[in-house]
Amino acid sequence: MIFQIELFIPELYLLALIGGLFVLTVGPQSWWRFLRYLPLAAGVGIGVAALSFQFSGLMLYGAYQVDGLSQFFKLAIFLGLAVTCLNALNQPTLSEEKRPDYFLFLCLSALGLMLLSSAVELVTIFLALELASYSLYALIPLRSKEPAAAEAGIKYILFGAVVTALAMYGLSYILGVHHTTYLSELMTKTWSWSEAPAALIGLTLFLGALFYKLALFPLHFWCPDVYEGASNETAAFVATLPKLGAVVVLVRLSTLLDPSMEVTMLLAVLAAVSMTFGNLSALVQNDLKRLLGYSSVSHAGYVMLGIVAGTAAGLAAAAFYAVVYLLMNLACFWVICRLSTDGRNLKLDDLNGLYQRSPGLALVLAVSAFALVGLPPTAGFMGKLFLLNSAWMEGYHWLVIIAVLNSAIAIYYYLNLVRHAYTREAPVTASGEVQAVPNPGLLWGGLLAAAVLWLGVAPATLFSFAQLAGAAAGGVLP
Amino acid sequence: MPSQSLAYAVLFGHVAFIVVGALMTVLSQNLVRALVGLIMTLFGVAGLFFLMSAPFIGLMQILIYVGAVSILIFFAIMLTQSWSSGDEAQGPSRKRAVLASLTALAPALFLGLTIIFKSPPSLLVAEETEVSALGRFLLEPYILPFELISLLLTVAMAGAVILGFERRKQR
Amino acid sequence: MNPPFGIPPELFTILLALGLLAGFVGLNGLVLVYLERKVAGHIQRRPGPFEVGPHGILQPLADALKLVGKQLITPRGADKWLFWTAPIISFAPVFVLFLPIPFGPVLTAMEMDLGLLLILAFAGINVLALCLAGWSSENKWSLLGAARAVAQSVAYEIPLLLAVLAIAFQFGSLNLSTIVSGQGAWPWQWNIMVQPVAFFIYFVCALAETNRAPFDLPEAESELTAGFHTEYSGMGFGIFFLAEYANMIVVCAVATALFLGGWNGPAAPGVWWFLVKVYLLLLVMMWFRWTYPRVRFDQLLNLSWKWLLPLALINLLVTLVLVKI
Repeated sequence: MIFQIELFIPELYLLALIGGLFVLTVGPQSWWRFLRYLPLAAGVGIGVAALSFQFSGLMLYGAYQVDGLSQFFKLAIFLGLAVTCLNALNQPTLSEEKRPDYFLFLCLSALGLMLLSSAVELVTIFLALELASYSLYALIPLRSKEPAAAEAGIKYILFGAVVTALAMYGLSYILGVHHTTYLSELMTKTWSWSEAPAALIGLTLFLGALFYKLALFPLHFWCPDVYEGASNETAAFVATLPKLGAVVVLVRLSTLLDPSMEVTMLLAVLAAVSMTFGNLSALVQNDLKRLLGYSSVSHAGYVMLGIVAGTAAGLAAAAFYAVVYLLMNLACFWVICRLSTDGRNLKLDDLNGLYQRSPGLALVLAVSAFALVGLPPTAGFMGKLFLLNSAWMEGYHWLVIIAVLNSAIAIYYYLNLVRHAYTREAPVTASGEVQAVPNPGLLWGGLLAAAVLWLGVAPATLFSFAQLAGAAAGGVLP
Repeated sequence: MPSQSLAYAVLFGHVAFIVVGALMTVLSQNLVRALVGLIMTLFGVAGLFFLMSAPFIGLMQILIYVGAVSILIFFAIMLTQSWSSGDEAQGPSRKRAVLASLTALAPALFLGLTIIFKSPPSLLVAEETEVSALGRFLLEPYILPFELISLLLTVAMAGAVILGFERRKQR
Repeated sequence: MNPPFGIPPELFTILLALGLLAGFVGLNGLVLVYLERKVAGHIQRRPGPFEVGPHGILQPLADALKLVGKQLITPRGADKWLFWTAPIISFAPVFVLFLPIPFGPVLTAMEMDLGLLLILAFAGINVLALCLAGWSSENKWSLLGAARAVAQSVAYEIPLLLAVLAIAFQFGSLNLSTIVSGQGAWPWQWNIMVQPVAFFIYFVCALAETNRAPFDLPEAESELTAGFHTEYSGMGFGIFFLAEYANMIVVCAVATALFLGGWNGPAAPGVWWFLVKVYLLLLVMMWFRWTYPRVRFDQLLNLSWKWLLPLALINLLVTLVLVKI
């Protein structure tokens, strides 16, 4: 089966959106008002992806696999894209003439992630990853009057280029030892240190590219700086969607990783270090985006629990957690973007008295902070529970204990957000009034928070899909 | 065997050429000289491709890297201003030089030892692949990456344009 | 012919060919210098060189002797090492360029399947030499010349490759001998009748790639003194000069092989026809030089990016469709 158009529908839909945006970028400015329908169009994409759930198949000479796992992530990517587009519609720090380009690159990055979720061939994976990153390289510096944004862009590009080079180098090792780049064939080869050390080195280097996207420990250093430099809205995208792409590839590659192998142990250690390091660093942050940056480093460690476990349940837990992470982080960034009306970076003190200025936003913030800690009854709790459970079952007791200890540390700084929002008094203007937050966008923020709560109370709805995805990853490639 | 020692001589001649070029690239104080070193390295790599019976790749290496990429780098160098008083003009401190060379040596030693002691089985005689076979290879099993590259290049170009250009004012 | 000293026969052929080519290139340099000056003279209604030998026929020899005898000067502040490497880099690829050119049915130094690609790959090195020469001279005219050379060669290399690619697709081969033997003896059986657009694009780009007027901006005498080779004296300049003429011969030889039937001819096919065609093309190049004024830089770039490139792409597309049908 070389090509089946019905398997390709979500990608084609997004491509059509990209084509439309391209026309807008070169068209007259009067057409730009159509941009406001973009979130709606991306929202329709969620439906398109949901409809394509029933399809499965292997296309393009076995390089492109459509299955439960890929469709699950495509749905999540459309969801994230819709929210980030909505979030970025009235971006204060984006110069007017670059608005259509901004959304064009957002969608291109999402397209790269979608291709990533279906790619089962290493070169395709690599290129899709690059497609997602290149668009971000262009997006991050697009923050007017902010030299830090250029710095962040340069950092992201340079470190990204080095990691890319390492990944390509690793790919050459894999190709040299095993003479193929197709995952289905690589499955059957040996990956142990004693028999094929070069292949293992290659795999480790290749995984590095994914760790960079995921901001896992040794390759996390860009994360806080880039979040801080990029505009709030861009950071909301960078912090959430690329992680989905990295997780889906890790889930696919995890079929290569036998629990008894050295590299799995390495991943477990990295997960532990990443959690601890991220959480300890987040404790001392004052800038909200830096705080969330270190928080995402630690969350990358949590997701790795499921990957390390490697069972269908573990992979399903990782997929579920990735989506939960997307929702709770988007909710958190939603609050930040609404609060920062002039687009500046927020400090912890800027949250003071949020309950007076906008009780709704304060509630959304509280829900997302509780979810990030992993407290019931939020989705964060359920996600972590699944992850810990799967890792415990596979005998990674020490890792589970470290993860639980880390959650305890994390309580301090996440609840610090809530403390600032609820127990400090808001600054008053000269006339003695509390300045309300203009245009809080409570409907969508509320929906995000509701989704986080709902998945915490009734996780089965999403988790059954995630289980399908996990089974697909474990089943097709036994 | 004289032919084998000749083969080794040719191989290590290429390797020496590449290494000299690489050292020149890294150690030279002058950007253009560093570029010349880089070009030497690229040329040497092209030669290695010839040795491995892949003349098409070798020629492409010359056409693309020597003929186009390094020329563009040259252009970029000419557009920059070199400061003789900047931080970079000072030589690295000794401590930093030692650390840097250790950092460079460690993975090289590690990878090199791995390859020497655990070399993967390889085809002993490299066979020349026809260009048409290469083309079929790219357009059949690797059609998706092949097409993705064009999308990737478009994105890279558009990104550079967005960041580099000011949009003209609409009339 | 049995090679002496037990050298492998292939190596011997190549060595012999290199020796012959060195002579050919040197001789051609002399002939072309004379031709150029005579053509220029007659186009401008003056006799050209007339004093040294009958009709000035020994003038190029006198020029060559003068160049060889001159002192080699390295300007103060120049990067000496790069300054003297540049002419060598400029001339070294010339020998490689001649290797795959089919002068006659058997007169090919090295028969190789990737001959066309070899020429295209090594022809790109010349501009590197111009860059190095211009940069290392530490002279603003030289640097400007180098900058122009880069922009020009990058712009014109792409349509040139695309034009050549159309021919390669048509014949399904990158071997110049195959392409030549695929064409007939008479002019209407030549490729130029099938691919006139490709020939036009190729020739314009070849003019630009060899920095010939009207595209001689890298050395534009009236603006940049002598562009990238302003600071070179004696044989430093002489080598650049020789390399330029050698490159002219190469592009004309490739044009002959690709478009004009190579060594095929109405009677007695052989190396004669090849040389006649090459020299005719060279004369056309000289004719252009003394006919058209130098283009402006923006015109130069616009011509390539806005006209030749799309034209070459369309030509390639049409060729592909026709080949497939």
